[in-house]
Amino acid sequence: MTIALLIISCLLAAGVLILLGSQVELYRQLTQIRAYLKLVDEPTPVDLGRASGVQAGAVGLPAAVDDATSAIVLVLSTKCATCRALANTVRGAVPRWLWLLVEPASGEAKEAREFVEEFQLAGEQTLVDTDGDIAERLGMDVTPLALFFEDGRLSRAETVPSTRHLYSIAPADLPLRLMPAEEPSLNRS
Amino acid sequence: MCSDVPLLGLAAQLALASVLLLAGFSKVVRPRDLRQVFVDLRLANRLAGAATAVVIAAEIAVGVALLTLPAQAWPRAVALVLAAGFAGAGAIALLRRERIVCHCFGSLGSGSLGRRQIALLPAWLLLAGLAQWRPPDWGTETGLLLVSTVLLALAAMEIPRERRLRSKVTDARVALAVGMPSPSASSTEGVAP
Repeated sequence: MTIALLIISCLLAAGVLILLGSQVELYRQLTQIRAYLKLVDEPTPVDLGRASGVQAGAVGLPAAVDDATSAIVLVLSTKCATCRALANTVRGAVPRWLWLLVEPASGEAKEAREFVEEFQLAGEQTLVDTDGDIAERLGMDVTPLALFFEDGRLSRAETVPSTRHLYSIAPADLPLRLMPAEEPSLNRS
Repeated sequence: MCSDVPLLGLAAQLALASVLLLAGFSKVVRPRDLRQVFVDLRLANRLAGAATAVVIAAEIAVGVALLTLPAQAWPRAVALVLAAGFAGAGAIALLRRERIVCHCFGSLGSGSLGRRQIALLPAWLLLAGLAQWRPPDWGTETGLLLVSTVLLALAAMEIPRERRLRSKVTDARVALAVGMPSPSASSTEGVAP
């Protein structure tokens, strides 16, 4: 009887080992398929130059970014297709970890207002850089661009090649969903 | 020192069994990798399939036998035959100056057949010799308990890898799901590139 039970436990242990191994193999294949289908984004880091370590408020960004332990400012142009796809992704519900900086391609305020209106982005977390002043102070003219602020200071910047990537850069401790009202505040207070 | 001698045999037997069980079970998931090794060693396709099954079955059977029949000499002898086979495969790859991926432990490593298999042959001999010199004397029940313990330990070692890959795939799936354009979205229509 004991021997039979021990044999069963051996078979079960072998089953667990094989199932775990199969699971690992399945995940590896999925990863390979994603790479083959070019579903792997390759964001490009952007040199911060003189903007490195600058405080959000000092360059004209919302003061709330200064108070956040971790925040991302997404710079969008009104004309680039990826920017519009990104804006569409956060349409009407900008997550709390994200601030938007809209750059009108033509420099006209009307164009930026239409962009904000079209994607229902109006709110405290959306800023329009009508005269290009903020972009000039940051010394960056790339869009779409993600600016990463740690403790209110600009720590790094990188391009956002797709909406997939936007969600992959979301803070790990926050769920990847577009329900800002349900998300905990990132503010230190 | 004298009291340590039986422990050396026990440790050697456990090490032999664990390595063979790990090698065998890691190949069960992707047997075609081992088959490819035989094809690369220029074995006929039909024979490659049979050889794959024989090697995997032998590794697992010998691993189990080393733990359940510790006093028997034949599992250690077969383990040495397997080790000699691995070294022989390494020697063939070296002589032909070909890079043949080993797949010795399935997807756990991607080393090449060659010097390592030959260099490890003395280690196999040493372990088998120690175990033969002072063979452990536990019973079949203890042996079966050891088999399940070793298998569960090997499974536990897989968990971090599984979790890491699962997290990567899950993140990618969420990103893909939310990144898919909605059928109703018309935001990109008429947009300048």
